[in-house]
Amino acid sequence: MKKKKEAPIFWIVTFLIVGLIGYADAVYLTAAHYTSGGPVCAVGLGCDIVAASEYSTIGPIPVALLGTLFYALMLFWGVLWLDIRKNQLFRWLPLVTIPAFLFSMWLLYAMAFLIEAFCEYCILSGGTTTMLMLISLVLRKKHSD
Amino acid sequence: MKNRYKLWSSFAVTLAVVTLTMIYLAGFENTAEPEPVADIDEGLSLELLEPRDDDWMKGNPDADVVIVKYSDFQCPACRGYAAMDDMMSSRMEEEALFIFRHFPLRNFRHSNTAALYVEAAGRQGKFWELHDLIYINQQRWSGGDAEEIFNSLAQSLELDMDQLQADMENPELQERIDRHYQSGQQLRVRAVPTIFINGEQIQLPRSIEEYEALINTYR
Repeated sequence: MKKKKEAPIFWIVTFLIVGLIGYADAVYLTAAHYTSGGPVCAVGLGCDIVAASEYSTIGPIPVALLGTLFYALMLFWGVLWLDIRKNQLFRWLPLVTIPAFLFSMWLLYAMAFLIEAFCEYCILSGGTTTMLMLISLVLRKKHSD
Repeated sequence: MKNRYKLWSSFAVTLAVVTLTMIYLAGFENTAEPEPVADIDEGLSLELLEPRDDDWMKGNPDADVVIVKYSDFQCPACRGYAAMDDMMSSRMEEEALFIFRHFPLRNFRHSNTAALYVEAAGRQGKFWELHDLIYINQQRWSGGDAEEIFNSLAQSLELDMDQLQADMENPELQERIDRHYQSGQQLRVRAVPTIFINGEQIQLPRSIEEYEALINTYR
């Protein structure tokens, strides 16, 4: 019981760093979407094709903007823990990170099998979402009250 | 209390710095792109969309409506629009000129080979015939032995197969495909198919009726 009291700062800091990388990536994609239609892409991968595909938006909302909000929420969550140090914050974290992870996996699937092109920024985001989900599970299992 | 203030203000500052940096990078990289695509002027764009000698065309060369389509043989959406264009080009034979340009995506394995086959068939006067057959059979060859299927489709059109193979090795064919691709890049084609009508990029129509209505607005 005692070890559940304090979350190791290591996990929180990792969570914040990963969240910040994901946030930067998502803001870049969102900004590229609204400025001139797409990100700058490595030759031959087809990230411009992914960014211009029907899967890059849900109605009028770019998926990258949803990603930005998700990462901002995750960062807020991490900093809130640093502030109030209440471990029950971890209990609800997977409720957000697991759907985000599943959505991210769907996007990777769409990219590989439906659009058949790769977007390096989206793969990075898939990685950061997966890491946030794994860390949130560790925090919930080992440290939530 | 002081620590708390410090914590949240550092958070806000970090977030603001990252946000502004990324917005700057997105805007800066896009405007600094070396490709002419970022700053393409209207004149150049219209010039690129004029019918050219190496275009594949159907319809009336003197029509008021000129439709230029950049397409890829392996893209599933392109198959749908190929069928739509086939129908529209016979329905509006006199009213419009339909231009096909290659835009083979680098990550589709067989796109460029399909384009080469169709170009080679074009040398024997059967560009559109093989074009149609390759699109119709797209699902068969996408996941199968594409070249074998392309050969059997070409044979079904009674093409001279030795000549076809010889033509496919002619670098002029690849150069033509590349010219189409490059003009598409200059026009900022980012997805396939991309269709321009009288120099204007259009939202892809969802039905043949919508397509016809759209073409009619340009007449």
